[in-house]
Amino acid sequence: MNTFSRNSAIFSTLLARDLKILKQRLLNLIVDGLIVMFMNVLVFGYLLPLLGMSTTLIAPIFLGNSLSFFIASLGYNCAIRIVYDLKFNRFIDYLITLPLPKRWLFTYFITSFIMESAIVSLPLTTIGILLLGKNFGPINGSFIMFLMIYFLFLLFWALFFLSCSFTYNFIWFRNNMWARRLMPLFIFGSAFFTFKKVTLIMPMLRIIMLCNPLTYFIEGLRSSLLGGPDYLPLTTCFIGIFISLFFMILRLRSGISQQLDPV
Amino acid sequence: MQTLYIFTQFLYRDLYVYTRQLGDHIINYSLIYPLLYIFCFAYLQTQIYFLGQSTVGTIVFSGTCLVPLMVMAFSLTFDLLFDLEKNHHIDYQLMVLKPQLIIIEQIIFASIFTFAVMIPFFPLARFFASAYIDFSTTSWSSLYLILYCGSLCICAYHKLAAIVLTLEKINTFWTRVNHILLMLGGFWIPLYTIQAFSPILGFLLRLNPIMYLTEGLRQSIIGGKHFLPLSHCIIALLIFTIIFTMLSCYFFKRRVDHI
Repeated sequence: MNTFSRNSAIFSTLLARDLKILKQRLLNLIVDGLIVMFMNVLVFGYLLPLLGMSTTLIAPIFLGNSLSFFIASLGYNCAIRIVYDLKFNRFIDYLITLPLPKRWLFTYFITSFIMESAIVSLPLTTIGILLLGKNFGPINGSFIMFLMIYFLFLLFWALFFLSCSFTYNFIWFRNNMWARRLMPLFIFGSAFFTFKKVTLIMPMLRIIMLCNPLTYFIEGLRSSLLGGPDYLPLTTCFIGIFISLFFMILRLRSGISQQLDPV
Repeated sequence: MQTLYIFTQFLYRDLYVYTRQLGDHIINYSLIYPLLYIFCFAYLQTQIYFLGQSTVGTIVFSGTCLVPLMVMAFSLTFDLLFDLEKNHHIDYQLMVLKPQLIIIEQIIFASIFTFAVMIPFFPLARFFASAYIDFSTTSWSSLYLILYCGSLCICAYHKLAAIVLTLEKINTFWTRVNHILLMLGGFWIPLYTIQAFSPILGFLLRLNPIMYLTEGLRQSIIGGKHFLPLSHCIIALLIFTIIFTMLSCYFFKRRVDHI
């Protein structure tokens, strides 16, 4: 057996183990997801328009806010398990001793998160769009492009949360992650409003938003599914997405060596 | 007299322990959350969602303090759950004070601490976003009265949850209970809008304690007939607090009583 096939065998065994665990948790995850999705559909799709919000904003907000928050909360739960493990259980020590290169091991972490998030969030997003019905408005974009950005978005969250869980300690992560990392990312990342609407009101915010990786992913999701000139062009989004992913990989590498390298 | 002395000593102990985390809490819940929310929900949301109508902006913004308030109350009250599941330091306290008094002391402390951290939320909004949030008719004394009653009720509710739940159920608790209470508790949408959408849902939401906090906040900030009267909100919050505290005492005694 050559090295590649041996690594693949261990890698797929670890993934199969995660899938088995996911199977036990799936019903709970889907119920949680359905509740969040239903609440978002009710609030963004039906109640906020009663207060005067334009119905043209429903689809971009649903994609930008509801979907992103849902994936981020899945990522946060996943990351808190890793941070807790690094502090208390140290199951990571067993994983490190496996005859598997570190690159493969961390690819396994990322793949596992992407699989779990996709299995839970893709059907729920579809249900959300169906529940919104006419309020969601026309879909002028391409589903394939949407799926492509969607999986890159999952990859981003996987890299982001994995790097955070290896960079910050348990107490800091539990107390400050939402307030000091996630909320600023969302608020300055066009999650609640589209990039063009915000920059129309406050042009100087343009630079901050363009430095925020979330802007490219969220605008990319909107642009790919909804189409039209109201969002950042897809080419700009793709450039931003790949630069963000590159920086996340660098951040993850430094986090891993900081946490696991004893020298 | 002895009991009262021990009770105040426990209050002092909690103050000593949590003051060490005060810096972090102030930065997160008295500065970062309010400033981000003011920028996002008072400034941008009013202009983009509601085309600059400051009345609607004020209605929507008034409930947004719920998130930092609930997270703060959660982080203070749920230490009991971690203790019950692992260290059991509570066993020492149980030797010197009645279980009911321990629970009451913890709720009172958490409510005062939460309230203190939440104090700057609305003054900051007035300072930074007075053009988008109308504070001209605000009764500040009523605002802080309802904010304290709300803190008390939310802390009692979270204390009950900390006693009833186990560690594995925390995430589920946030998604299945707190998220619903929050989104349908007037975080953005006032009760009269929900009633216009569905009278049945509007009626059912009167069982949501958080709705009385947000309605009370809106009544104190904006006033008028659209929102529930302040006296109703305060009475409802106090009744809910008593119910949650009694249930907490009952379940706490059942959980720590090994016989």
